[in-house]
Amino acid sequence: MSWQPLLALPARIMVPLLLLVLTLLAAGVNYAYQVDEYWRSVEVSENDRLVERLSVEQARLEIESGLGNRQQVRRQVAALGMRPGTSHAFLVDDDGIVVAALSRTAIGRSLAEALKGESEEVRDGVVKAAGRGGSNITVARNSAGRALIGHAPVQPGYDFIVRVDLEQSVATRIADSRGLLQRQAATILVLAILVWGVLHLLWFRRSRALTATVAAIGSGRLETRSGLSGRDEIGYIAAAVDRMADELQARRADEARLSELINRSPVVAVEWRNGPGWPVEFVSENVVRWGYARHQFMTGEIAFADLIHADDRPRIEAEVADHLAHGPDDYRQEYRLRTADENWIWVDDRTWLSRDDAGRVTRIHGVLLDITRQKHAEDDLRVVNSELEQRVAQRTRDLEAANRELESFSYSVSHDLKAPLRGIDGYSQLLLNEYGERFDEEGRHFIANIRSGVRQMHQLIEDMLAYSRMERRELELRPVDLAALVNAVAQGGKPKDKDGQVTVEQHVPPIEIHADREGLTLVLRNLLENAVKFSRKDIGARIELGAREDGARVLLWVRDNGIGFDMKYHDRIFDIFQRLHRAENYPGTGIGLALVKKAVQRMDGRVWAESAPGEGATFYLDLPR
Amino acid sequence: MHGLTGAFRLALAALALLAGSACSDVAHGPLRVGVEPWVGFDPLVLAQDRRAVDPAVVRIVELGSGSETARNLRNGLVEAAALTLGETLRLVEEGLALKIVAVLDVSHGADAILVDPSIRDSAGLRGKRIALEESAVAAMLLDRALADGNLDAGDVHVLPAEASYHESALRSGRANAVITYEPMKSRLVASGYGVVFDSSRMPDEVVDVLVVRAEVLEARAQAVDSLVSAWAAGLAELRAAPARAAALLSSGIELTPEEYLATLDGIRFIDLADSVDMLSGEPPPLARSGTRLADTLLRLGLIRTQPDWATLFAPESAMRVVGRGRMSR
Repeated sequence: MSWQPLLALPARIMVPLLLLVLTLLAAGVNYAYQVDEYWRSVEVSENDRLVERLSVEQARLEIESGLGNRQQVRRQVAALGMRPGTSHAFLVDDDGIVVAALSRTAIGRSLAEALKGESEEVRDGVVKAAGRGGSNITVARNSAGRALIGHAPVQPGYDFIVRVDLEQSVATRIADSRGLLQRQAATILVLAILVWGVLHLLWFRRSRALTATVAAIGSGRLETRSGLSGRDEIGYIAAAVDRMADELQARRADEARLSELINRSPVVAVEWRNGPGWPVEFVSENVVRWGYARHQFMTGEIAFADLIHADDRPRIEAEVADHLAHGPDDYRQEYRLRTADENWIWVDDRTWLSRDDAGRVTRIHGVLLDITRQKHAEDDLRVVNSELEQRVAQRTRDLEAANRELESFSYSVSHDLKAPLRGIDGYSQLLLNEYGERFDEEGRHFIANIRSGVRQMHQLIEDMLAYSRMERRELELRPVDLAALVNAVAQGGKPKDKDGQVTVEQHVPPIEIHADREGLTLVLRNLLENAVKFSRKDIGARIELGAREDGARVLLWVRDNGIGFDMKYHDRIFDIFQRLHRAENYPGTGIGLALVKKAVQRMDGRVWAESAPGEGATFYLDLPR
Repeated sequence: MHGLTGAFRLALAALALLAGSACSDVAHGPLRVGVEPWVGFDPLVLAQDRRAVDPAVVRIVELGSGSETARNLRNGLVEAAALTLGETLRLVEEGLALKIVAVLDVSHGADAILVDPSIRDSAGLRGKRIALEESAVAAMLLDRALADGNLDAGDVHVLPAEASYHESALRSGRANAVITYEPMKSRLVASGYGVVFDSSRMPDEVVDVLVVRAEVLEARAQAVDSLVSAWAAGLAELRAAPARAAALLSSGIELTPEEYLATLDGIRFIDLADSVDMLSGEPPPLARSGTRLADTLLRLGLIRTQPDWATLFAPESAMRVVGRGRMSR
């Protein structure tokens, strides 16, 4: 049995239909019950009436027959025909001849003859009743249970048989009660209609509205709302549907915004299914900027992989296979794609993978950015860089050559200046020795000035040569015991006290440093001489040589209590030929600290000074170990 | 779907029950037709015996007398009856709504005044006790007989007696004369009683008709058609085989078949087609003859007004049966 056909009907038709069927069913069952009941009651009442009638007729017939009034007897029996249920009545004498009956034609015939043409049931029933005998009135039901057959003995020697058909009485009862049954059924029907009406108002009308709403929402009209209220199931469902529509509408708005954003963004969003050929499941509308339509991808008309440049494709496929197999699930790839107008663009594909619970990749998502311009710019930049590097190298080579030439020139100049200078020195000495007496005091003073100038120039040339050598000589980096070196410089190179006592303190822990021994010695000696030279006249010079390790570097310092300097000149003091004091007060060439700086730089170190006028100065060296 | 189909079937049956008419022949029971033991009505008895009619639809109930018939019709124990026209007019005047659906026969000597051998003619009735049924026909016969014998109503003693007591009244001597009809007439004649007046002297005045209660005719026209049809069938049977009919019908009224056949001479049966003719037209022929009858009844004080003939006749059933008979022929 299938209920499926019933589901084809909407409830607003189904329910009244069921109500109607149930109403009719109830009426039918009620009817069947009533008919059954009528049969029982009719049988009982007809039985009583038949006994009563037989009793009365028995008495009357005995009187009339006793008077010999045959005609009256016949009329009396025939008049029973007016009783609707009475189908047969026979008064039979002891010879079995009918003496009275409902119909005159039976009179004078045997009972069997009179019953000729009747049904077997009637014949058997009546004949059997005639043979009952006895002195009592008896009533029996016929074989079919649809008739009663009564027998009354009538003196002298007659049998009075009356057959009563129950069907007719039952039919009459049914006909009489049919109105009642109809009213009952009509009442049930009216109630069913009322129930249907209430259901219609409460449910069907609302469920139809709800159905229409859901259908409208389902077809995309998300602004539709049921507007139904109530706390019943429909009310709850309607409220849920309205909420769902709210949410869907909001989501659609979000989607539209996102879609708008994506479409206006420089990226094209693509979603592939992880399957052969990576079928595209989604692509943003702005793919049109590459000359394609969405549906071409969605329907498989265009395979995305076919758009990848043949030179890039093996690499891309290999990379993707690797990511799918081993991760990571977020990665970037750059490759060329063919646009609809047969041009090639470079894309930066930022990809991420979705995996199911088993770790299998289900979706591949990507946002593709057209980086063709950047790529071209990068290429251009690479060319420019390359050219620039070549030019820089050429310039460097030129500069190095010029520098070498200059160094060579300055060395040659310095060196070559020494020869005439030696001449001036020698001949001025001779002049003083040989002709000194001939000059007056002023002349001898002039010669002394010449010789002083010669010495100064000599010193200048020596310093310049030292500076030049510093530039030219090869660095020899090797392990140096810093404490020993400082001590050697302090002891060996200790300058003569000009006017007062010079105290040199050493605070150098035993540190081994990887440095150019000669360069470092030059630096320390220059700094020591500098400290002595700029000591104060009024107090004795006090110089501290110190060092400490600082990670991978070593910090060395030379601190004095001399005249100091203004910190605004702290850079200038390391420039060549720069002097802060007059040469008359503090003689020098202005090369010493420049030499220090040059030497330290060559050792990949740094030198700086901290000071204040009259407060002494501290020179720091920062060197790698 | 069997269960569902069953339920639907039961529901449909219930629907049919509810929608169906509350009336049916079975529910009404058979249309009971009261007939007195007047030979003129025997075609109905014969039709029932020959099964010319379904006993569930029409049942001929043989009653003791016209009075009894009238009483049962009045009391609603029978729905139709075979009556004299005069009796019918009386019942109608009493307020009983009856329709004459057919004319059955005209008495032509079958109604008579039987007298003991001491009385020779109508005039001999003076001072005698006359037993009679209180019926229009009896009243008319007495009226004519008295006129015939130049007597007044006060010259005779009237003993009311139903037809079933007529014979015993005369035989016992309680009455000197009896106004009766066949078959009592033939039985009394056979016993030596004489006839001083009979309906042959009142041609076409003693007419018997088949009447149906008006509401029954309206509700059960088909059953009435069956009744009319039964009359036609019974009459045809009687005419086709009168000897067989006499053998069948005579025993119950204690006549020999020969006597029975003789009684038929005093009766003129009316064919159904003739019956239709008598009940139709403007005015219907029966209304004309009936008016004379009514005048007599008015004079005798048995009715007070002329009946409304137009509402009394209902020949439609007879027309239908005649029409069907013609078609089947």
